[in-house]
Amino acid sequence: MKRLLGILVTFLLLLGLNSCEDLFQYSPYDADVSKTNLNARNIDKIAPHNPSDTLWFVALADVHAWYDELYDATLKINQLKNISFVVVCGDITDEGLAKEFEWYNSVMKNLKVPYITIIGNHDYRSNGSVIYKKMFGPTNFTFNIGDYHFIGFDDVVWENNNTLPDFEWLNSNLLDTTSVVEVGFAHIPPWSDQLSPYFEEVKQLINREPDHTLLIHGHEHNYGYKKLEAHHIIVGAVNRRLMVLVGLCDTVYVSRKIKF
Amino acid sequence: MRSSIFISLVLLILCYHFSMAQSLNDSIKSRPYYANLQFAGNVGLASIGLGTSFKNEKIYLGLIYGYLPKSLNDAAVHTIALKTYFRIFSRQLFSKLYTSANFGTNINYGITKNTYLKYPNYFPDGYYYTNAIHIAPFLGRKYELVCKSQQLGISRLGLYFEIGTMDKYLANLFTSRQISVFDVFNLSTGITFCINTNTSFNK
Repeated sequence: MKRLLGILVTFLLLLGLNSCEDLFQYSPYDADVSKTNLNARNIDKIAPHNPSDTLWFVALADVHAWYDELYDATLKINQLKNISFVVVCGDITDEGLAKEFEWYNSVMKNLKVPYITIIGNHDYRSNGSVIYKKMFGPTNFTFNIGDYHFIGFDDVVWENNNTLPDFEWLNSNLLDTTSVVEVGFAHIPPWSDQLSPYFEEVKQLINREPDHTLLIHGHEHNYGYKKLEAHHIIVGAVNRRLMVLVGLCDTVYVSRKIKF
Repeated sequence: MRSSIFISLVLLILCYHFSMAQSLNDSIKSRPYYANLQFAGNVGLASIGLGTSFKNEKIYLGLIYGYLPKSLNDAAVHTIALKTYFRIFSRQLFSKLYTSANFGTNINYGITKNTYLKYPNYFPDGYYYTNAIHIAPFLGRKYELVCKSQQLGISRLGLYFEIGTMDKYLANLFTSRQISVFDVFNLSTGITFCINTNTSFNK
């Protein structure tokens, strides 16, 4: 009788478990996601900006599998005042697996402000680009906060089947403005490995109004700054425990490294 | 909820049922071969496998092909896996019903977009390790019914379930406090057919 009961319990449990879809994983390369269109939804949550105030945001990059450090970064950001949003400049995963994207989101949920995610080269691995597009939205996108214009640009080449970035899209979305700073986020700096063959073409695009253009990158894992006509900030990887705080005030920007 | 389910399953896999006999003694006249159909388990939505066992069915070795269709979640994945496991224990429950617990691993080769054994030439040497091969250990429990069917050519019919994980998930688990141990495991279920009709069992 006890044996029969034991077997019955096993089969009933299995029957019940078959209805719990998230307990079963078909493949680590599956593109099943729990949330969709996160970038657009989070952009909608950014609080309206008072034009007389400085617009502050925080930039991070290269999370990979450093979830503890990322969590500590969210604790530090939550202590800062007047932050409008956080941007993570790519490489939020190692292998572009759905589980990694979910773990990244579960840590970022700790933030008290909205976050925006840019695609990086590691995020293209496996079915990562499919997962990113379902979870966050298009890899190229723009948004405005008040008069400030922001661009998220996908400049991954090798992992995207050695395909050129969509420079035509970038050209048509860059503003010829001198009234405010224009900010672009792209994981790979234009002088870096994958983009170096196209450096001159990229320079022509981004240096139309170089004194009013700020570009923020990741990929190199170390913090850096370069002025190649336009201004380039390279955000270090999260395991370096440095984030970059950026403030925009009309035609001027300020930036500061913050340890966490 | 997830944690209690996995704890219950591990206990279920490792628990002894009360049995008629102390152990399963097989009298194997020739090597048994198995076919199996599986749902989930890191090798696809569904998979088929063929295998055989050694050392009085204490060691199993098999080959699996699994498929995840693109129509499900926009990503088609083909998986070829080598499966091996060791029998932890086996028990006879009724005259024709046996149960066993197993511990083993798959070595999975996943074929999908952007998985490579060797990366294309435009990547610098050593830029990435292969992302197509993963080791996927598991713990499993099987129930087998002796049902010698000359027509179907099977001697035993089995039902099993496995709790499995993957090398990458375990590595992340050990390097980050943010990941729950229950979030790196997943389930699979399947049926097996022992297709060697010369197999018999002695109590």
